[in-house]
Amino acid sequence: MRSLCVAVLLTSCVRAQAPPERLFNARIDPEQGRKLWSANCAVCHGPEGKGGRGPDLTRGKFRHGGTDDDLYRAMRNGIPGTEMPGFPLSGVESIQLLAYVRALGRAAIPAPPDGDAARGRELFASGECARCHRVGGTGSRTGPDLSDAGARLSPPDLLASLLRPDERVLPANWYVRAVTRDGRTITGRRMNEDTYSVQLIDTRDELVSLVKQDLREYELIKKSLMPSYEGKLTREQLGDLVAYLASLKGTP
Amino acid sequence: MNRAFVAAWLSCWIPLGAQVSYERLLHADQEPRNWLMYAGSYKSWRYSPLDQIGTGNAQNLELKWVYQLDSMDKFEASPLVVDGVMYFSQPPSDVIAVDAKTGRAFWTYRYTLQGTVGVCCGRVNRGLAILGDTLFLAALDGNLVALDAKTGREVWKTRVVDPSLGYSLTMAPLVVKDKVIIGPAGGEYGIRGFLAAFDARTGKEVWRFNTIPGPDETGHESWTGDAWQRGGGSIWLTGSYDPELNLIIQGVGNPSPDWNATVRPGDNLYASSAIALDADTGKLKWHYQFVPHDAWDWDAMQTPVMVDAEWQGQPRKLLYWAHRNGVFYVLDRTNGKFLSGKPFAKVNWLEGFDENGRPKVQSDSLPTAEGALVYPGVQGATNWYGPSYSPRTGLFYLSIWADYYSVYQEGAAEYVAGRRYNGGNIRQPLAFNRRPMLLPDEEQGYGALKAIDPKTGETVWQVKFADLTEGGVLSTAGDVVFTGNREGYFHAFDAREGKLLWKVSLGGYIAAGPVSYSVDGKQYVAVAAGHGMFVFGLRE
Repeated sequence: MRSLCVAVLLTSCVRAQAPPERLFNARIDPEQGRKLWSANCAVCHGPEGKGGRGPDLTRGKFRHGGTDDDLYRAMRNGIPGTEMPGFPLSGVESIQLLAYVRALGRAAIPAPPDGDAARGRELFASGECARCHRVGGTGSRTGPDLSDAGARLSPPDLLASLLRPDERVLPANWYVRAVTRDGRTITGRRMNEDTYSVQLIDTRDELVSLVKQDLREYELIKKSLMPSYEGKLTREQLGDLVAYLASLKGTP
Repeated sequence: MNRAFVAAWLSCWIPLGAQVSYERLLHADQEPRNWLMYAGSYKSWRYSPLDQIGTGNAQNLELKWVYQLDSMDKFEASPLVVDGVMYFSQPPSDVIAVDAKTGRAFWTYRYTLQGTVGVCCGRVNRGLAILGDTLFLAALDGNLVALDAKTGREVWKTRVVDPSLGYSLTMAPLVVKDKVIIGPAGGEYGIRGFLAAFDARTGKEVWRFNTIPGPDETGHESWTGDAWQRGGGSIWLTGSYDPELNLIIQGVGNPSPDWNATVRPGDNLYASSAIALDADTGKLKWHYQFVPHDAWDWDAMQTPVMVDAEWQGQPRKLLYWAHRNGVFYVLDRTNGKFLSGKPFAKVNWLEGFDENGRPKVQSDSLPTAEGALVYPGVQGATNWYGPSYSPRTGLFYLSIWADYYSVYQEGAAEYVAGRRYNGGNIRQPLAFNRRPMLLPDEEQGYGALKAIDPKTGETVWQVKFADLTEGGVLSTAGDVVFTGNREGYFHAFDAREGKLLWKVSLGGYIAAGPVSYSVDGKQYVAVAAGHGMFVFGLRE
């Protein structure tokens, strides 16, 4: 299983916001996750996570938010207005349990049929993908470069990214939405930021540097700008696309 | 040459060439044009009585000169300025003398490191000391070196420690009377630390205080078995000196190994403590241990700031200490008595203090095999970054890491001479030295410049930076506070309110403490940034 290097959460504080943390290139131990699940969660969510007193968690859909951050908060603090209590988990336990809950959801994604990478490539080029993503030197630079997507992500993770893009957005892919004093709105991927300024690549592939003091509004968007393709692509198309993405290993 | 000319020549020449006597060091604060020791004066305020640059004209600051190093090692040095000449160390262990007005070099002393030196945190040097016509350099590979300040020629060189055992020297020496005082770094290598005094003329060792006491020394009972032999207690930052009490006050580094404290049961004196030593004999007068049985690498490597002020209605000789563990302490520096301790950043390890000022530690904050999440993280809520005290505002200024944590993981601690001896691992959300800076969420911690009222420990103002900061702080009689940060900005703030007066992007990591001086009646501010010494003055 991939390591949760991005956004597992960990804190001892009880306040509502959980600090997303990317400290742990933690090795995920499915066995520990399963034990924690059995000890804490199974009584309400069912031994297999299919639900009972609490909701089914195998569908990978979470009513109270499905980001790592949301799940962490729910685990640690409970969900107000529901029967879900908070659990006093240690940092490492939280990581293991979060990974386990994620895996439950992943399992529910029906594996697409083995796709055809060549068809996937056509779909990628002709469809919306290339409007934001770049592969091997062609396409837009607005979204993450996917030239080595297959080297970084496994096919199930690639599929999950297509269906649930908000689950895991690396800080390198966070977006800035800024409104200048004269009313221009600038949106782009953040490349660098400091106390007084921010550098980004905007939706027209232009490099833009902004002084925060000159902005009327400034917002850092930690969600994906990509929509979910759940229901928008057929299972066959998803299979083709995943096969294509998995074939992208970057330049050696 | 007629006599009048000679007299005129002498009258010009003598003040410029006058030696830096101990008397001058004692009254360093009465020579605002100079910066004679690491933190400005024996009180270590990093405060300049110069007031030409003030809140009303700081926006007119401009670059006067820059001196580019030919070293790519991290530049943490604070310069000295003596009668128009600036001296600074170039990492790892070179020394450069330049005209303080133009930045043009008089001489460069090049030091060749011998063998391999194990260093935890860069091949750095934090500065020099001067006495008479002699500069003192603690070279990374274990030599204390005396240089002729006029020519950069070596006067003597004394072997102090053996780098193959994990010892190194990185601090700016402290000169007291006729002695040069230093100690070794190496707290991540299982060294046994000490503070030692060397004869300034000969380099011969005069006294030595073992920061980790051996079997016949007081404090040894705070160790179990032979753990003391590799018990750490490094010294890598300059202490302060109180001439009336004749005490050198010095912070001591963490015990070794850092995060596996189970192999060294006991309080582990004098690690993570303030110690006060008789300047003539090196005998211990008092100590205060900030972190008994330290398991987090929270060494007391902060500049001890000495202030005489009223404390609860009584005039007292106080010691202000913003510790890496997140607490701002006020001690009585005549006897080390704890007067108050107040967190200045988020801490979760401290339950409170007993009546002797010993901290009550939250039991779940000790490192475990799976990891304990503790605020502050391993780099500390502050660290060695020089703080400043202004007698005009009565405020204490420092760089902090707020809301910052690490997960401290205990691990095997096997001592092998000269190798790392950490006893565990650290994991944390904040990346170091990364560029461009994809900043973390604020919830993962942030850097700030903070002004504390030392009487209450309360924050008077705070300026938040997007990234963390390791900048030392300078305050001046112009009521300006100068500091740089990791983003490479160098700032001037209003000392009373924290309002930004001026800033400049120097494009490189700033970790050193700024200094101020004047030449020909004009005030300058100098700071090491990236790999250059930058000097600013008012636009004319």
